[in-house]
Amino acid sequence: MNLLQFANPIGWWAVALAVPVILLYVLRTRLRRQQVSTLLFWDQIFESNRPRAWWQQLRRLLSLLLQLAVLALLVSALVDPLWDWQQQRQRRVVLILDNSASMQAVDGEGTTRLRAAKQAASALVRSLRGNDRMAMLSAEGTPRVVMGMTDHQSGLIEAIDNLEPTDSPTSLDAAVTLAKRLLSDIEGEGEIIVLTDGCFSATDEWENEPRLTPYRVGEPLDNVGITRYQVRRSLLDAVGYQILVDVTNHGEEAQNCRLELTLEGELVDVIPLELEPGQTDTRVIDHTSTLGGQLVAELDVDDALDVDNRAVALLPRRDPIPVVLVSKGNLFLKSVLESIPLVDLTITNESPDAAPAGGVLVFDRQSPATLPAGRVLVVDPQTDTDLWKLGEPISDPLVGSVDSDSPLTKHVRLTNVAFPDARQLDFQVDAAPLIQSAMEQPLFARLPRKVGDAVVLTCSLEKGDLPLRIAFPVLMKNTIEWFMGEQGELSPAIPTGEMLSVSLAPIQAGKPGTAEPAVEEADPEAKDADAKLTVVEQAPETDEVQYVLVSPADSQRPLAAASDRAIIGPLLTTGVWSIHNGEDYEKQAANAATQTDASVEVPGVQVACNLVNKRESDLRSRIDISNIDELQLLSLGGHSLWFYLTMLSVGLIATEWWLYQRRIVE
Amino acid sequence: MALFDSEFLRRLEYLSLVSRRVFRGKLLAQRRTKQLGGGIEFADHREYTPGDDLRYLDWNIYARYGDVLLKRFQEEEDLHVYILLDVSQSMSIASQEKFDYARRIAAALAYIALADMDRVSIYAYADEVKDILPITRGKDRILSVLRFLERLEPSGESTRLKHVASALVQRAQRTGLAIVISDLYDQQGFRDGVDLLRYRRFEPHLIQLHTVEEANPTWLGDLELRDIETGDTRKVTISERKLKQYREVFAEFLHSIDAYCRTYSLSCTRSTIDLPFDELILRMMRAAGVTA
Repeated sequence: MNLLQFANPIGWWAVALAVPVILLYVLRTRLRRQQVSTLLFWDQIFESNRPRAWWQQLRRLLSLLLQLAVLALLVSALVDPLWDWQQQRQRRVVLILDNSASMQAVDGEGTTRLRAAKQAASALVRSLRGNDRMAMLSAEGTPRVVMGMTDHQSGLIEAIDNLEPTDSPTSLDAAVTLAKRLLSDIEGEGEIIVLTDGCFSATDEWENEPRLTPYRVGEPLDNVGITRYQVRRSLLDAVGYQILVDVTNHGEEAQNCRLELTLEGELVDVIPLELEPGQTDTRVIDHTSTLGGQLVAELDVDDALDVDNRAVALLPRRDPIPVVLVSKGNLFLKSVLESIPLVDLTITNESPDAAPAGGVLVFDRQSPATLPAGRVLVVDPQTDTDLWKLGEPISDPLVGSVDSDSPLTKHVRLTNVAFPDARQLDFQVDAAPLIQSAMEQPLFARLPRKVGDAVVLTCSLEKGDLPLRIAFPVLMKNTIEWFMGEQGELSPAIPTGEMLSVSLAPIQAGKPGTAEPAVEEADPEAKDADAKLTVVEQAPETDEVQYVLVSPADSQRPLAAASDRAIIGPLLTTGVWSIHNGEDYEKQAANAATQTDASVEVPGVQVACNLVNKRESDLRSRIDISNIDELQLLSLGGHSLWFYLTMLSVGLIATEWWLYQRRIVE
Repeated sequence: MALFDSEFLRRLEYLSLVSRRVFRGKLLAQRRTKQLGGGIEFADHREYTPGDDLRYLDWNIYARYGDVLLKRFQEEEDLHVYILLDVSQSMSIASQEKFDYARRIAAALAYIALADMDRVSIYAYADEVKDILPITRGKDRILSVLRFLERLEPSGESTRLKHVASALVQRAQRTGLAIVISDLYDQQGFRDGVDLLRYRRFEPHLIQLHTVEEANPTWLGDLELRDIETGDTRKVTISERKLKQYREVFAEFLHSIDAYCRTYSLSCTRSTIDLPFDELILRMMRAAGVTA
């Protein structure tokens, strides 16, 4: 045997056990004597069974040799000999453990793929020899070095055990890149072992890496999942919203299931789905509600992966729009304003000092010399103001042109409609006429102001037929909505694993409740593997406001924020994440703990996060790689060869005892 | 405890009484001889010849008819009981319990016979005749019988019933009941000896004794079996299967003895030594009462 070294030379002392083995053998061969009255009967029995084969004559000697062989195996296991090739080949392994969402799939045996991968990884760690070293990476949305190159087996096993599943898509390419970087500092070739379920698309880098040895966990499984989910406020209806949802059947059989939609716990809709294999059912669902909050879509289906059966989106809340109408009585105008959704109309005779907060001030046939601050609409002005001076009545007030590109006049058709008593307006500011007469005299114009935009309509509603036209309520509705702006129309739910730049303005403004976050995807370059190494930077020790990022599981971590924006991510868990002012959040937590004033919500920005990833939902491996059982075989189930030889020897001892002591062999 | 203590003797007396009252001497098949002689029971008349004892003249006949006739009486002859006691080493198994048991059986039978005024002789044998109690008679001789039995020791390297049978037929002046008390582990077979007794008009009666362990051993494992008589050894591994085979072989051995005795109308009594000896004797009495 070409041995150079023994891992545990002290184990040679166990050779001394051969002495008692031989002694016991000798003692055992001195058989127990038994006197009998006669051998007549025993001879009759044993005469026919007298051993005649040579090996039967050696039966006892064979037993001794067997025991000595067992002892030799035990001693070998203790001293753990290293062959020269084993010494020369010190393994340097980077283990990449896929902990993406699809690894949460439950296989037929009732265990998740991640658990099976962890078991195989632990076995691989235990099979390492004294000089071998290993590093471990996770392949979630952003690859992470879980444990650097080390030979500390218990630390590696603990790291494997503590690796949590994520709802993030697989990023094996980035993980392999990181692994190669780790191996670049090490002498020798090294190995990259990947444990994954293969639910991703292999790239050239993956296939052209000779040091890479992937192993597949789990068998192909059928699965139905939500692969797209967004909600937005309707562009046409102030209280309406639209839900876009894709449900895909990643299976070999047709599936019947239901999609349940709930808004803040209240059932909104139940949609039965019949999905053929591979079919994606795309639905756009319209509903109306002034409420906002979490709009949850849930698939009522029993499949292998749960995380893609639920998706959440944030529906912006619609607040009432306070509108103050200063008028001596105008049924047309009053009725049309009341008919506009969300409008909370107040009628008065006296001009207020300013437009209502967050609302619109409407003057009917009157206007102060200086228009109040805020959003102001003046209908049929009778006097000069700081923004215009009234001229002569327009002789031929037929509508000549409408600016169809303006949001104020979209869907407005006013061909050959007369604006009676319309007067010429000499604007004192840079106005934008939207509706003009045939002589290009402004009839409806937008006037920008620093203190709030103003809109003026010169037309006597009571004399013309404009109020009877459909265009009139459309025009008023456009005007009110234009004043209110379109912010909050869309609060996109983002996929897991993505990084985001989030506006912190709602927090800084102290706006309570679930504000409409201005969510933007971060710079695409930030998704580079280098950038992904940093998840979220720790907040610097400054006097600036400290923000916390609260996960769906209510765990929090400090968030670095620059001015009014913060970059968060990658978000690895589905659900609603939120950003809060750190101090306020701590106070709320303290109040909640003491049950005092716990109902006060801390202003924050919410972000919905869903898996919505077809590659992760499709639990059928798309790459042809070896099964993980082969790794178990190569790593010998996590033990050295000598361990099994020892187990074998113990088995042999038991067999020998059973055969000989129980007189099975005679 | 002594081999023949007072309790033993008390039991012997009891057995003797039972033998007389219940079985009326049938235990040992008490019988008359075919010879005529000086008995008390009248048999016949014959002509007087000179020299005859005048005491036996029938004076009534002479007075009435004038014939000189001599009265003849049926002579009553004692039964000869020969006890062939196996004293081979095989009887010393189980701390000589089997040997002691055999000696107690022999003593009991001798006592009953002596009490009935039969003649008793004991042949202790193994591979040859080891000792002989000469033929004796009278209840008062029981102590000499017991002393003879007490001084016997297991000996011999084998068992040869044929040898003792030959010695018996040569020495015995008269035939009689030949009671063989043995385990019958005769290397050459006990049948030759019994046959010889039969041929010489002895009436063989077999009392076979064995221990419970001989019939149903419980040893398992690797053993070196040593024949207590011959000293031969066998290294064997005894399994449950082997024990089962042994029990079958032993049962076959007992069955062959029964078949032999049935064939030649021999009485045979078999017992393990855990049975009280007086119980065995009573069992023999009952068997004799039924068959006599």
